[in-house]
Amino acid sequence: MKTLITQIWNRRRSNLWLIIELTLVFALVWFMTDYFFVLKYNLSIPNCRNIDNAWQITVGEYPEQAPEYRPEEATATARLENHRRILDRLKNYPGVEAVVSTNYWSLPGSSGVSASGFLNPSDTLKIIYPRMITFDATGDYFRVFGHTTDLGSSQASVRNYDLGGAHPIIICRSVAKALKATVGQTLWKGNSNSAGEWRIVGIIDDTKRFDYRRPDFTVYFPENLDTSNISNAEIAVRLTSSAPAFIDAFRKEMQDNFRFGNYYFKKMTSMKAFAQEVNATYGLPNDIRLRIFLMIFLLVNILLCVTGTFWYRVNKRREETGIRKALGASQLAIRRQFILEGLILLLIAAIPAMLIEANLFNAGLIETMGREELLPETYLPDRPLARFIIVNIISLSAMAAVVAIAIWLPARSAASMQAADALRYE
Amino acid sequence: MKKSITQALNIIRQERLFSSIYIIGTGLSITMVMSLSIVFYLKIADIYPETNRSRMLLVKSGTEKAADGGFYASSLALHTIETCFNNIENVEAITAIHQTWNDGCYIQLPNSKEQPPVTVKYIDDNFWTVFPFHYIEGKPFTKEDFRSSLPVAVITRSLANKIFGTTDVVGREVSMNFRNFRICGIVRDASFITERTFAHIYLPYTVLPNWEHAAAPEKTLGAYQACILARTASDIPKIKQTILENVSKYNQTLKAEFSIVGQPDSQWQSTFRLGGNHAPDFTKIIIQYTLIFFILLLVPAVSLSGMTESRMERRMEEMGVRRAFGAPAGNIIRQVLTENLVFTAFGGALGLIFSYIIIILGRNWIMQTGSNFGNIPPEGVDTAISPSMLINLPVFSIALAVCILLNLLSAFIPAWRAARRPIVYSLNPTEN
Repeated sequence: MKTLITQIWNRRRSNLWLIIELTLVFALVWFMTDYFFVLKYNLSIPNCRNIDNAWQITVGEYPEQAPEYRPEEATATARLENHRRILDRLKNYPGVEAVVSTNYWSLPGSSGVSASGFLNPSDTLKIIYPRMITFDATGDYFRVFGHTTDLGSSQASVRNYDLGGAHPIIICRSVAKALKATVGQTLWKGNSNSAGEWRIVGIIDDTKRFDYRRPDFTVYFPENLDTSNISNAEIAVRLTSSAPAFIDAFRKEMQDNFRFGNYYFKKMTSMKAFAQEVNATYGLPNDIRLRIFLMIFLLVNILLCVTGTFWYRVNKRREETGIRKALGASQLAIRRQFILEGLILLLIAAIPAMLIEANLFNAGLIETMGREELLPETYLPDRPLARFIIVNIISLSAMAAVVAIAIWLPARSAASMQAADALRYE
Repeated sequence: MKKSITQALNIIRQERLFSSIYIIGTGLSITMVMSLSIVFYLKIADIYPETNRSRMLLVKSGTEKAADGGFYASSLALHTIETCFNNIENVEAITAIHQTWNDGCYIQLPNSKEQPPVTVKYIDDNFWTVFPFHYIEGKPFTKEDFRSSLPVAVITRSLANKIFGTTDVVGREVSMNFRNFRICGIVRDASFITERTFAHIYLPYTVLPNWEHAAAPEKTLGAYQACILARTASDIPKIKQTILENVSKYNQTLKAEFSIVGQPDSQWQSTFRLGGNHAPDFTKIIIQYTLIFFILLLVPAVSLSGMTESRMERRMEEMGVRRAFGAPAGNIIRQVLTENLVFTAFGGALGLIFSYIIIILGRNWIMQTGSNFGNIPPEGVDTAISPSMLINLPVFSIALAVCILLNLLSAFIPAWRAARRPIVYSLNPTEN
């Protein structure tokens, strides 16, 4: 070990370049790893719903100029009536498990969001702004999107709640926790009871608006379809099967026999595809892709840099290697010595790199994806020290692996040389 | 010069492994930098049909702060555009583009139940002046067509071929969401790269039921963005000035505070403007991207410096001999830099080719880089990349500049140190 340190010191000039490079890349790799750590962590938090077999059904309306247009079907009541007929027809179609009509960006993964302030009358200082999911209670929102209750142990259904009477709402677990509210209590919407008191009729599990974020506050409102909200209504169904043949048959049936007043069938989109498209619009896949590219770029740079430097070094130290072999060192021992030298350099580089990281961290320049101040839970990425250590261990391991591979190649050729050849070299 | 190049080529031949590592390292850096540069080039440069980007000003959004404290942010109302931007000296044309949420437009085919999705742009007749499309058949719709809300359409060559199998379709009708439009012209397709003008069907916005709709209490906001075409790029500062004056005059007629949030933007600024309600910090953006470019060059430069340094060490005797025979330090530095440039040039060519491959393979997502939101091609659209977008003088010039910069970064310090080293040490190389 002492010999190694001496050797590193003796070659400080070319080692300096290597250490600068390793420091620079270490800090950058840490930055990327931190992002992926938080992302991975967020993805591992359960999202208590299941949209696997859920589909959005998009309908169009014939314009006045179309030959198919029927003016008598364009009145507000006729449109409402036809919309209801659509829901009934879908519900009774074999293979449809549940159907729902929603409003105001209430589909899972929707690009927009509707929110409002809520507070518990017993503590009017704490106000939170949950997402509001608005659904038509004749359908079953919870079954269509596979929501659960009691921490995932049972399926939720709108039918399990008493939605009669004025202003019923169903809240999610984190809202209940944040507002210290239970079933049967009432909440205020806004900061007074002027908008009415809202009676909690049920608590269901937390969901995440996007899979890569943390669970967020959500409140579920039954709001029946009427002539005023029908224009923005969005329909979704849950199918019993995901077999392509079944989906194709269902789609064909919709295309051929879907005509309710002026409504016609436009398309059906799986909720998964819908969510993916919204994610893409918000740029997440691109962010991930760019970071992966940068990560590869950084690691390949280290690979090339270390290979290049050690190739020279190994060639220059042929005599030394020859002597060591003559004295009985095995091939493995020689390779190990070079790799150890590289790893020590990496450890030396890690110290200034971590100082840079710590400064970035303390300056608040490192974001935590999906963090919301008011959420009652504290997640692992919110503990700075633990996060710092974990992410550094991951980065260090990745870099160590690359450094070892990078030295392995040049070291192999030196180690496999015959001692006599090495000594006679040049 | 010639000697240095020959020497460099000899080194490549003699030290294959080292040279390939060096060239790959350079190539990697140039690939990254050039991919990013090409993305920004495509966002900013004059590209068909947005060939006038360099003399264009854009206003995408505005805000209205109402007297009661309400705050509204959105695209602009038509009459706001007319009041603030019309009749300005040295403006060649101004066009308003309707900002449709482009989902749910489908065409009905004559002999099939399938309804392919299409992208529709609702525009006015000046659009064709600001964006000089190439007409394959027919003509743009006229001011009269536009004013009388006629259901006329300009469609692209690809759509014409898809529906009819030919482009000779002027006068025929296309059905979009069950409404018929008479085709008056067929244009060469715009790529999704030029998102502002990309569509399959161009319709006069007067066919929309609520085309004059204006929002917010003082009705300053609506659904349009304005593109203002200056006669020459040098007229732009004056036009900007006039627009700001017009906005402040317009404000005096309102009971609210209307703002165009730091606009009008030039093309490059406009690509960074995302939300409507606050102006982007352009200085911060420039610093941010300079930093990214710098890191992409610096990380490989440090490792290349290390390698150059090792190479110099090996050739210390040669340098020593040259110095002993009276070569000035400047000559040595120049020699090393030129030699190294040969390596960098190989890497640069390799990197440029790889960046083309990345752009072509990533065409449907890579343009999102630097714009956080949107820029995703709609269903069924493949972003077209034409050879002239990639192979052109500006791109080559950027590549050359990047090579020279990288070469300086990666060889200057080792060259300088080699040249400065006392001759005795050079002739008798021991460690340090």
